[in-house]
Amino acid sequence: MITARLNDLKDVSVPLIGGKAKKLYELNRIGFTTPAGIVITTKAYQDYISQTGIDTVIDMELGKKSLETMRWEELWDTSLRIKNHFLHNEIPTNLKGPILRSLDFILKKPLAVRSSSIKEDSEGVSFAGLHESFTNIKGESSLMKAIRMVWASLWSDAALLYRKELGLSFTDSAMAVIVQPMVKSAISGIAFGQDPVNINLNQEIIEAVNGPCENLVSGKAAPQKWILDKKSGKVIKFLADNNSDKTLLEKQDLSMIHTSLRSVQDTFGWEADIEWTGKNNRFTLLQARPITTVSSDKSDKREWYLSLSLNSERLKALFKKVTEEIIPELDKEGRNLSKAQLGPAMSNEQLAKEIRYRKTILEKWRNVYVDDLIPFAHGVRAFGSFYNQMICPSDPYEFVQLLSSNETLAAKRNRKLQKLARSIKHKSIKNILQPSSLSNLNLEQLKAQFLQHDQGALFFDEFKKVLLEDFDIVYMGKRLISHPSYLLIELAKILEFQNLDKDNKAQQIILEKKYRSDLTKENKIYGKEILNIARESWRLRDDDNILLSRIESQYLRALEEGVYRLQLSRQLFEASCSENDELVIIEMLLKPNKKKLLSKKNEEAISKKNKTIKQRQINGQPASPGLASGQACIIENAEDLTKFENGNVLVCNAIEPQMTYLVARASAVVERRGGMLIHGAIIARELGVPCVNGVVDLNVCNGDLLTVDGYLGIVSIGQSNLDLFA
Amino acid sequence: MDEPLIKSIKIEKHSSKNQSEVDAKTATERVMSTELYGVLATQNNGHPYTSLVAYANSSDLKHIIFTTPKTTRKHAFLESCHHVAFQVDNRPKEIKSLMVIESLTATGSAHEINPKEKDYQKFKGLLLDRHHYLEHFLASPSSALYCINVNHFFHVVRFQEVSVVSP
Repeated sequence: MITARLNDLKDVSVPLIGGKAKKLYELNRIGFTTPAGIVITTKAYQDYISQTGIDTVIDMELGKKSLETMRWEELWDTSLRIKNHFLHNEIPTNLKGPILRSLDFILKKPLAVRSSSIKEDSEGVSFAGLHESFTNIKGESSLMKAIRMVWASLWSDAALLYRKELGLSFTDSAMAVIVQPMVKSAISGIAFGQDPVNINLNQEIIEAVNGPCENLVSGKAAPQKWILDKKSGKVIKFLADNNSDKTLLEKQDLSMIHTSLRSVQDTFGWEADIEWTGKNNRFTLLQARPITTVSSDKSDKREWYLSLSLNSERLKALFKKVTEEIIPELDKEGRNLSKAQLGPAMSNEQLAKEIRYRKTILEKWRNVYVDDLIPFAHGVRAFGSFYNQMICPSDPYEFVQLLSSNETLAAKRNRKLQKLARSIKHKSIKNILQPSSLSNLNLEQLKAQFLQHDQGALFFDEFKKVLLEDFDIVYMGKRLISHPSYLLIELAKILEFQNLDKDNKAQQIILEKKYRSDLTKENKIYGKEILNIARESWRLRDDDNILLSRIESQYLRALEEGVYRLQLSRQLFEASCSENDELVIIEMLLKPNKKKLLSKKNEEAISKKNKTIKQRQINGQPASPGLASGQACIIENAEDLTKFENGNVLVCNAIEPQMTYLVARASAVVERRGGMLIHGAIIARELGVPCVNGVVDLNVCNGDLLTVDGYLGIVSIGQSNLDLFA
Repeated sequence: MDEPLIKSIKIEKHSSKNQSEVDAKTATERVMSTELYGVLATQNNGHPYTSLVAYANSSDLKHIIFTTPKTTRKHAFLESCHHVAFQVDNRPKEIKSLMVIESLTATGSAHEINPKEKDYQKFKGLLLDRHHYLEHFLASPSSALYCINVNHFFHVVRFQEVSVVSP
């Protein structure tokens, strides 16, 4: 059975029609008005994926590496690639025919296309909204695409995140689809049989907006809200926007919704979360499901991740907040801290206070990063999903070309480095830039060296300017500004390296033109807005890291001043410190006779080579196309930055914006952290350097020959022509 | 499986064929067209090396097509020596009868087909018809498309019954 009428189902088994369709059928049977329509069964889905070969694609995507080792960015990428196959494969005629014939009675109306999965919406699950629904679908072609998109949402990033609870597997999972005519009403809303936020068992919640329910769900309209006593149905509280001129629901409307909630509870035995539309005799129940239970497990970050997918209104509000308030303030705070003097005029007590103050500032901005900046970075993903649905490109990451920017702080810094390196013409200055002669010299010692040579003073001034402006940042717990020799060593290597600038501007213009012309009348405004938001999101996702790093650097500067004083007072003999040492440093600053040891760093090493088992090839994500070989150079701490030779393959946990300048000198990049939209992937693509990321178990040493296939996401270790006898 | 040479059969278009000749060729066509993966044997300095690959074959059995990343050992070995063997069989997951298992070993020479070559699209089409999911893989400049020009198929059935089919 490919399709069936919703109100006349013969087989109502959930594996065939999904949970939502079954509930609608049952609600109708007990007397509720529900929209007519059809259900496209899971059999149609299975036929579609097997006839188009998408079943093998899903198998390969999910089996390429363990999902357990994937961060959410990689799950999003996996989902995007799978979805792209659904976008590109039309529904075969043998399925399309029966679907269209069964929809004949409603095909001319605007339609709602909803998911009806087997597991979601079941009682007791701790998630909802993992799959997609589309409304106001008009025309055969849009309808077929919407059906494919709902099928594809079986493999949404959220569904992959909850794969264990869903029992998601490519062999057994399937999705049914509900197609209904849109119900036009002046008022719509949602209601909960008990308060879902405060878990108040005695209260019901009703929310209503003008127009369709989508206005409420998308955040387009602020709802009026009623809190009712569950037993009596009496209104306890009414909450409304100040701009609301009249109450949307009368007493009898509230009473009808209250009765509906009780009726669902009596019939099914669970408190409901319903969507409804219309009033009085036109009251229609759009859907009913058990209230999502909030997970009590604080370590489960999945709800936080799901909250990152913002609707367009919230994204627009965040755009304003981030660009107008957060970034300017973050920048200002870092600059102010760097201007403040921490020298001898400040007593130990004052310094201890300053350290605590700076830590408070750092923590405040770290929270802002998690609460606002990471969600804002999701603007890029929101645009990517929209772009792919609109354009259906063969490369699911084509949208990235519309976003690239040369105006990030990191890109500007990298250009300054290139310019500074090119300014070194005099042989005597070149001679100073020998790594061996530079190691561990402080700024004053370096200045003395440069002043001995012609043009040395001029170069040093420029160098110092870049150092102060762009290297007051932290990499792996170390302030780069405290190690000026690192920057000079980098300049010496840039000098030897032939840099080829890659200009992607022309391609960007062509794509943007096509994108803008493909936008339909209905989504023209949104299309422009989301592109604008995505561009800022793209640019700021680098900048916010650098600006936050500057604040971290200023916090460490205060700690370093403390360490310096403790060394002078012979309370301490170690020269370096970390955030973990704060309490010990403060204690010693306040108690002059106290002597303690600082914590030892416990860094996770990238590799420990096993002599009996050698890796030969390992899978990752094809993050930047290209094929290149080179010797591995593992970057695990700030000092490693100076060891990176031109043409090495850069191996690290993740490329941070603080060290992107290395990528220009790399033959290829291999990262443990995966994702097509993480910093390393972005910079590598912009520079045309092959990159494979998400390589979790790479087991290599510095100097190993690596071949990086950025087209296919494969890293090969060692020579391919191994002597088989040896 | 052991392969004692019992008989050698040249399948000729216009010659009259006995039943076993027809069966061996039909069986070879059937196994080659229904299976998806085969074992490619290459060699390096006289030492054999095998790799499991997804394949397709031409209907006249003269060509076996597969693809590999250019970074692999098999690619390096094929560049230095074109002689290959290729094994396909129809073993089920749970073997109920050894006697019905059919195994084919093809021998021939493998050559990389450059995208500019005349037959590239034809061979690529053959492979993608059976393994559509390799489309992205094949589109990569780091992948190579190979064609084995088959000299002989050794068809083995009923444990020791061997026929040689020369397409």
